[in-house]
Amino acid sequence: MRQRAILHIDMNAFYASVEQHNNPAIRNKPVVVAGDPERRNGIILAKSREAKAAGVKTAQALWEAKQACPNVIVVPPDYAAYKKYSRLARLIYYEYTNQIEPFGLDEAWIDITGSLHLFGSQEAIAQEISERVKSELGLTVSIGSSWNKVFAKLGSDIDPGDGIVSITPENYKRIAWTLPAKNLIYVGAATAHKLHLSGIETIGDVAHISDTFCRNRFGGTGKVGRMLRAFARGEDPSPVKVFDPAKADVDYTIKGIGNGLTAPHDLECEEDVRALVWLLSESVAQRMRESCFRCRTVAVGARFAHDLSGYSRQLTLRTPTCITKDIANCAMELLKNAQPLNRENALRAIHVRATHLVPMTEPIQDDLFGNTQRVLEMERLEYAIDNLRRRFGNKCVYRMVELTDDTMAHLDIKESNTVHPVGFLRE
Amino acid sequence: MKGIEERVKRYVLVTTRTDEEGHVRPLEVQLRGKTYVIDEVLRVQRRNARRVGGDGICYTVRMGNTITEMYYDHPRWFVEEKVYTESC
Repeated sequence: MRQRAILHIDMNAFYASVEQHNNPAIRNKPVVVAGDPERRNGIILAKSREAKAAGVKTAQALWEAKQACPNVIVVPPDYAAYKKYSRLARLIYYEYTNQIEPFGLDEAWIDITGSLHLFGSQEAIAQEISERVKSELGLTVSIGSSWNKVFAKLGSDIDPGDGIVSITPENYKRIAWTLPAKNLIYVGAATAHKLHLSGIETIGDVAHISDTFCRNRFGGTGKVGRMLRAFARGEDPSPVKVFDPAKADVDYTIKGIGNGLTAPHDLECEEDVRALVWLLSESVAQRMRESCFRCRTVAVGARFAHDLSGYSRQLTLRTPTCITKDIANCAMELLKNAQPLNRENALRAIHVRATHLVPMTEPIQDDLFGNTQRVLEMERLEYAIDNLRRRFGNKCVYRMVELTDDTMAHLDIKESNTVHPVGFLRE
Repeated sequence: MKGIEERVKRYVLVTTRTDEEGHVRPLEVQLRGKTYVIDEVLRVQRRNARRVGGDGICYTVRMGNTITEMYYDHPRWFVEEKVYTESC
């Protein structure tokens, strides 16, 4: 079987680079892209190379970043621009192969095995893509080149910027196996610590763990451990999925639909919480209907204002639903049962999620004591509202309960929803 | 004395013709109140406008004896206009 040729392309400091590309006045300066501190999501989303050198870190609070770099330039996020450049970059990749698997807005795997005879060697194609992204879009990329997705991503991760790292069967022990285990995809802080406790420090060490270790350390049949070992040995067989330019994303099975928000002020009473829960439930329900699903389970997550600790609860419904009222009422019930909704237990953020999705084409077993006719009427009403919103925007129709809080009344949660990278291990 | 030459991004009014295949041919451009006829399109390629920021489909065009570039960044056109600032 022919060895695969896979590239992983990572756009350097993507958000910050786009901002600097569009505004020459902030080039070669420490720039961060951050949320709005007034709405209490003033977190660093991205930093330029200059800001990184000054000690600014992603996910820091804005005040921490300013402490590290007092002259940092703060720019609000422009997701429309980031999506535009992400799409333009993928259109460049699409000229070399149709096997493109995006991993968020700024990363993508591409399989060029079938393109080598047309465009030259793996390294030549990588070089050409890098030069085209720079000349056509004004952005730089790090490219990892290997025969599997895991090592390709490792290569782009270790490149400092605007470079190409090739990990081959001849050099992977020298390059990949000497790296810390936490550099391997799917080894987060918790797994890295677990490995460290057993003296497993490098990717090379991970490549030599035994089946017994996998079972003992990772539980069950040791499947996760064996998967990591295969990753470390370059034995990842997962294919790069085919790209659909019309969808500008990959096909994947939706397992849940959720929305969350850090509230502009602490939620100190039931009315405050209800307004946000309904806003979130509205968006979740609308997205479910657009994807032609109903859900069987509603889950909520909440984060306390005083220490940012959180909790989550979920409830399985008697019959699947896509009606906003059902989801919102269920979410409120979960929150009220978890903690009193008062000043002592003020909440900072809430997340509502619908899971155990069932297609709308699937027949539903009616509830003997329920009111099927009423459910159908409610669904028809929801669809009528969806149609109005499609034509006139999401803000053309509001529920009264969502308007009880002035600071949140103007929010359009569905429009500002951004779907983040799909997990590597998806169906 | 002219001063220091800089470039600024200037959005411009462009008259175009679109053929049956969807190919766009710019015919005229207006800048600083004057209309310039585009005699020939020499090259069309996507490029970033490094000097002024942004990017688009770059048309290298000839207007008389002058060869210059104009960018189409849907839905607008822009050029890298020369301006002169006072030198110290």
